[in-house]
Amino acid sequence: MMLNQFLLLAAVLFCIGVYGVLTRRNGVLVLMSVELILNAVNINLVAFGAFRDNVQGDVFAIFVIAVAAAEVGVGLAMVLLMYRNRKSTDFTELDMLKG
Amino acid sequence: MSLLTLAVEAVPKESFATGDVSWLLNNVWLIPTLPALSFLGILFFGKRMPKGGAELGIAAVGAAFLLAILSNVAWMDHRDNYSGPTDAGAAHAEDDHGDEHSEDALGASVVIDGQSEQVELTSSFVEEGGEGGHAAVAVLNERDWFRNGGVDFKVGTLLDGPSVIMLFVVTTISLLVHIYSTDYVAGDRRYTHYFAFLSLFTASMLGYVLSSNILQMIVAWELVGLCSFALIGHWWEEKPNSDAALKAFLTNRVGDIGLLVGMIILFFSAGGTFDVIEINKAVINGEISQTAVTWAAISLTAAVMSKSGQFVLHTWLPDAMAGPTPVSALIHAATLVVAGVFMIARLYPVFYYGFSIPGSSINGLALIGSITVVFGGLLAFVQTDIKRVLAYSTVSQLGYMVLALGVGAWTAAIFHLFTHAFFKAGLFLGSGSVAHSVHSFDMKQDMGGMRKFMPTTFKTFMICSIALAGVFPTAGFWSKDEILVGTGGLGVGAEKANGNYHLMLIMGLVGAMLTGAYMTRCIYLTFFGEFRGHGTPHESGKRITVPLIILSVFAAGAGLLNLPPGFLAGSASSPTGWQERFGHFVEPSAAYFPAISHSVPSWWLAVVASVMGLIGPAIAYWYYFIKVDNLSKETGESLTELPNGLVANNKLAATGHAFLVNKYYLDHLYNDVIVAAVKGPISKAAYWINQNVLDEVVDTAGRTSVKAGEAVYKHIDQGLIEGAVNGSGILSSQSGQGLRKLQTGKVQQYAALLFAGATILAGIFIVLV
Amino acid sequence: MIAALTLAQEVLTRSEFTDALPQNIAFAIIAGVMLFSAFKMVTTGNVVHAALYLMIVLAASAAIFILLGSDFVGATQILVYIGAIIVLFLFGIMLTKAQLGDDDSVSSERRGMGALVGVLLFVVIGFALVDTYENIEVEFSDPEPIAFTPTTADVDDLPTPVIEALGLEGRTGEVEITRADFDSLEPEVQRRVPGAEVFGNNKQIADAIFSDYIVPFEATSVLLLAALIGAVVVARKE
Repeated sequence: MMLNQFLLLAAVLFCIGVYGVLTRRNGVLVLMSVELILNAVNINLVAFGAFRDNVQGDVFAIFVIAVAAAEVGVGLAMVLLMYRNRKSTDFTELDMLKG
Repeated sequence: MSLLTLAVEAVPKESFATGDVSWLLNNVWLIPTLPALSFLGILFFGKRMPKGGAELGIAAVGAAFLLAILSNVAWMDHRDNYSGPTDAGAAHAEDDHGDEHSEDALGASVVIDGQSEQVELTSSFVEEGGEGGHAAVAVLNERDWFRNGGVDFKVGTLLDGPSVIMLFVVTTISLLVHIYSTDYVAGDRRYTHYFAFLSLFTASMLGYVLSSNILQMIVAWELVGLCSFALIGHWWEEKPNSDAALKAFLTNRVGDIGLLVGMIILFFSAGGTFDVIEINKAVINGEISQTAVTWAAISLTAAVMSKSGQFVLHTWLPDAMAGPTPVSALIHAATLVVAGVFMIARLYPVFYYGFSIPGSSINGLALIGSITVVFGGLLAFVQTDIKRVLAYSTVSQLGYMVLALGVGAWTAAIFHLFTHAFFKAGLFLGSGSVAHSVHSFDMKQDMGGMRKFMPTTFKTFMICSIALAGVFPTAGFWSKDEILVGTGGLGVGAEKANGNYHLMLIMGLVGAMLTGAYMTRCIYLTFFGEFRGHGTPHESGKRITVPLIILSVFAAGAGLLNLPPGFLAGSASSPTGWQERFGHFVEPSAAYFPAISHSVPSWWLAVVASVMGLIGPAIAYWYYFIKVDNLSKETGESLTELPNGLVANNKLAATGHAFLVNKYYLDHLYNDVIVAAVKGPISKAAYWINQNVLDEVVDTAGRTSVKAGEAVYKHIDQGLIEGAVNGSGILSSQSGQGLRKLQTGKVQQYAALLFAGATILAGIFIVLV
Repeated sequence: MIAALTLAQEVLTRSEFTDALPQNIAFAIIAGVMLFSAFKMVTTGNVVHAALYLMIVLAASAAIFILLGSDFVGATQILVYIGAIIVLFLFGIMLTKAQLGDDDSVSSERRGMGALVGVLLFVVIGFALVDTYENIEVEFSDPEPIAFTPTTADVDDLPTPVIEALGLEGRTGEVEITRADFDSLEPEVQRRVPGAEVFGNNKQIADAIFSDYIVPFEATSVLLLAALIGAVVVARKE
């Protein structure tokens, strides 16, 4: 099997994730799209690990999973906080950075 | 370089014991652990204890003190009588037991089986090794802390001469300071907090001196710095105190950069090891390039300059007097400031070869030390605060230690550290005793005549001052004399010294003169004349005077531990059984220590130094005890200086005085020296040239340029430049308007721009590379 | 979809496709399901459906991990992601009272910008990958290497397949098993020989985590604790 078929699959997944992050308005959906990005990275890590014939890729994939779990926890807490304050999870309403 | 190779050949092969050593020496980690535990105990339970946690701190440090004494005794036995296997023997035996050895490396001291073989090895070493056989090896205990990226991070204790003597010094001073503090800070608002940090301070310093690797040293070094910050700023409600704490901390950070850089250089150049022994051995065996060693030594010197208050970075030290006096005693005698000196001693090969100490007559380390000796001593003259006198005195004395290390007199430096710890602690605690009674540190306004009120404090202060001044036969005499001999300057003991440091010898002698003089002044202002303060001072309680008495006994007698060879018995080249005991037990003679030469003591130098050391006090005595005292009696006031003395009458002296009062303030140097010189003859000459030569040229040029200017204005300025300026204004305004639309404040749009920008940059990168 | 088709076409047109046919077919199915679900996930108007599509993507990537021989990561992926994170997302959806059923307002109107960035990103990454790893193949090593140290064993204690394979029928007492003997055996029989130790992927990962990467591992535990506390602090009611 080609290394590239895994890497290109991960690349497509990554780009779909980016598209989701950029176009979704609902906070929870944005977080889900971030998960796609992280998964794409994991596929890369594991594929390279198999290619180099060592376990370091696997080890770091596991670390990424752990970090992703932490990220979802904190991210959802922030979305909840936003919902509680504004009764909405619409990211497009967050425009207080306007210049 | 021939000298260097000679030295390398003389170094023994082994560095640490691998066989049975006494239980205590293998478990010295207990000594720093006790105060560390007491720190936690006081922090969590101190407030609920009947004495606010002080009893726990004293108990822990007391136990550590007992263990330190026992480990000193055990070390003496080990130093002379150890006949078990060493790492050199282990390396030899590794061929047969290679697998076992590497598997065992996780554990502590590797004990090699096959005793018979070991015995043979040992006897052959005894034959080769000469003095004392190979017994003078360190006791190393290491555990793996963690591993990352193929590097082992270890934690352990390296016990040898310098660390075992430091254990004694630190625990002794710390115990006395603890006891003293129970009276001195009694009723303080943060009494418990104070004792907690005192414990941590002691623990980190003990951990520092026992560190077996430089990583551990850095950790302990920073812990010491942190504790000093907390303790100097103990009374942080007053702005100057917290400022002083910050200044101490930040000045030390400057040096810490040097520490990190130096340690990183050592780590990589020694082949990725943090181990002190490995690094030292690599330097001695010439495995590290001279350039790397030199840069490491220079970087570490920056750290020493900040931590040990060497000139240029010493400014934080006098300000650190803002802390409680017992803390000053601890900082100045046993912990913070000697950390730098101890680091040089611990990584001595780095400095020894990095600065090319053997065979030269000047080097960076010795120069910094000698400048500090004199400049620190001079500053002590103009202080009115008794603690600041002592602070500058510490700066000067630390200069002696660095000087000694810089000239290769390693034992002399550690011996001076040892003796200085006692008399400087005694002086600080004595000054605290006085200040406790008069509620001020100002010698000129609130002290005077204290000998009548505080006889015990006076006597101990006198003894410690005499020791500091280096008067025969107190401790300071022996250690200072050894440093001066070690310089090898002006032909003194030159045949066996490491170099010919003439300048260092002269500066050292000047320093000795200054020391006696400023201490005489300090004693007169504090203890003689009439009392100038308010109220009725009284002698301090037992918990203050007893530590003072103990310290003054040490100050008087500690010098006997290292009598020079040839004193009273024996000859200069072969010490008898009771001479040079300190050097014998403290100086490592192992593979990780350079083979330094030892100067032969010189009688005439001892006499000259003593005379110099007495001239200073004699002048000061004449000035204060005769002139000022007589005048005081005539006028009936208690004077602190002659109203029409040297400073008032002589312009030069007055300038010097102001110079010192301003602490060599560089702004003054620039303003008063450089600017004044320019103002004088140079500016007059310039004025004449200006009037007669330049004026004509300038006038002509001026007329020409007016004409040219008119033409330029008409054509270029109005036409071209105006247009360009207006155009750029319009352009930026327009582009601003355009870009403003991008600032929507919408997070996702920013993210899109971010991704797009990163993608384009990555694309450019891929195409180009 | 175009990207997925490009990928599929690229894979199918290569001769290497036929070398490991079962794996490649499995890969094609998994990749197709995964990309379809991922695409649906970012375009669907139904929030709960999006979460379920995400679950399919995660399961597919677990399958990819297993295909690559990393069983442990695959299992972790299923346990942590599908078991925990999806549930967390569903909680998030319910707690924010998102509208159940189709709701066009969950996506913003400016899809063109996102699509542009996504395609641009893929072009750059894809070009870099094709340029760098054009013909490199992944060679799968034995996922469970067997370590062996020569030993002696009592014939009576040996398992029957080993006795048969080594031709030891009828013998008694101690026999020596050499490296040559061991190498002559089938892998299934090898692991039953005394002195053989299966050194599987899981064991290797455990070795790596608890020796070389112990510091990142401990740091991760601290990170999780910090995230736990942080999430509680952020989300609790005043």
